[in-house]
Amino acid sequence: MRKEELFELMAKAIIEGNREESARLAKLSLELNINPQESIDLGFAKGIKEVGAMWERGEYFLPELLMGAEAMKSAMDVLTPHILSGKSGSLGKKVVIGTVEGDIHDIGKNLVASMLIANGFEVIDLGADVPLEKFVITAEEVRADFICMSALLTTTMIGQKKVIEMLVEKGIRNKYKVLVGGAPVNEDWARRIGADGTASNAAQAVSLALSLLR
Amino acid sequence: MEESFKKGEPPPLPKVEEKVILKLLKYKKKDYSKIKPLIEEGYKIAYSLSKPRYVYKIFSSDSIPHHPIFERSSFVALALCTIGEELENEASKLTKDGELLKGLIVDVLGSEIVEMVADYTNSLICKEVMEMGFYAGKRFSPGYGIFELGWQKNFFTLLPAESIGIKLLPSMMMFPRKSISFAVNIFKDEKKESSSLVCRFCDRANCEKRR
Repeated sequence: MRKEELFELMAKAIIEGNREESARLAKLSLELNINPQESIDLGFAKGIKEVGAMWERGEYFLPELLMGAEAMKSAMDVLTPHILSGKSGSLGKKVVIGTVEGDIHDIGKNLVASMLIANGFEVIDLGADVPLEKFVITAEEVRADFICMSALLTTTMIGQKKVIEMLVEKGIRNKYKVLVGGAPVNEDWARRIGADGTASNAAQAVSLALSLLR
Repeated sequence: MEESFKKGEPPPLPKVEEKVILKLLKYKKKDYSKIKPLIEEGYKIAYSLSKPRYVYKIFSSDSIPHHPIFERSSFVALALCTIGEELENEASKLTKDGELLKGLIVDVLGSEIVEMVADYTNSLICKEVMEMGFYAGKRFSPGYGIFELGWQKNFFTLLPAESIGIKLLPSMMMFPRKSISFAVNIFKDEKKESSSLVCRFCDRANCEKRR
């Protein structure tokens, strides 16, 4: 099989959300001594971009996006140990993500984290009920590009504001793009607290993060 | 009217309809064969891990902290419902492990199942209220409209929440997450119940309920 044909099959497996097939093709590419980074860039990543484009065009819905991300993860699980740096994240951009202190919801945050990983971001997931200073400390430690905070209640979304205030106080606000999300969060809130944006679902969060890189 | 706690487990709950799940997943295609197997798996997980429980009590209106929303009622029923924490733990684990869609389906089912527990509990309250010759209004929960989330703490001082495994976090969030608190106004006179009772106090001019 020609390399180009294999790359096409890789993209197809992601578009179809076929986890088993994407893992199989990833293993096959290693047996054929194809550079794993090449398989990601020219095969799997093309697939996940197309999944995003199909969602934008209204041809795909949330379940298909998630299936695409799952298939991407299956391939990345096979390929990542064989990439020289040993790290995921083909974009070379790091995201620190978590649900703010006092809030134990994590499903939405997990979906955003997985979608970001599938789209080439390296994600440091702090989990739920994260002490606010931990967002700042971790972002500094790992030299993150993004800080993403989730909050599901009006009583906990104030934590997003406090983290941004901490960044401002330390004079490091401009080092990071800060994205906020969660059921009570909207554009107005994001603007008022000085965040760089918000998205109403995981796919939009990826689009927003990618747009902020341009 | 007797004022005592009523606590229990509802009878086996009906199956959440597939069309409801698809709507919550925002899936608009007629052919959903690709995700149907995951929905089937989701049913098995969600129903086996749900542990539905409820507790409620009917209070005279003047025996609970004042709120404008209770001003016309003679009595107020306060209720807490949950399906326990096993389901939400599994949904979190699935999404963390990369099984995003299955995890989301289980989570969505959990939200629907706990609503059914609330519906069942509400029906018990309505039955009790009817037997006493009173009228039950609609149920409402803290955090919606003018019924502030802060009022949530009163549910936990007035009801034995821990006896059904619910805790209140400092953020006023309930743990397990798949839990519902709600109040029902109880009137002597049917005319006092008005669908616009909440609207009278709420300032959300564009709310769907006003139209």
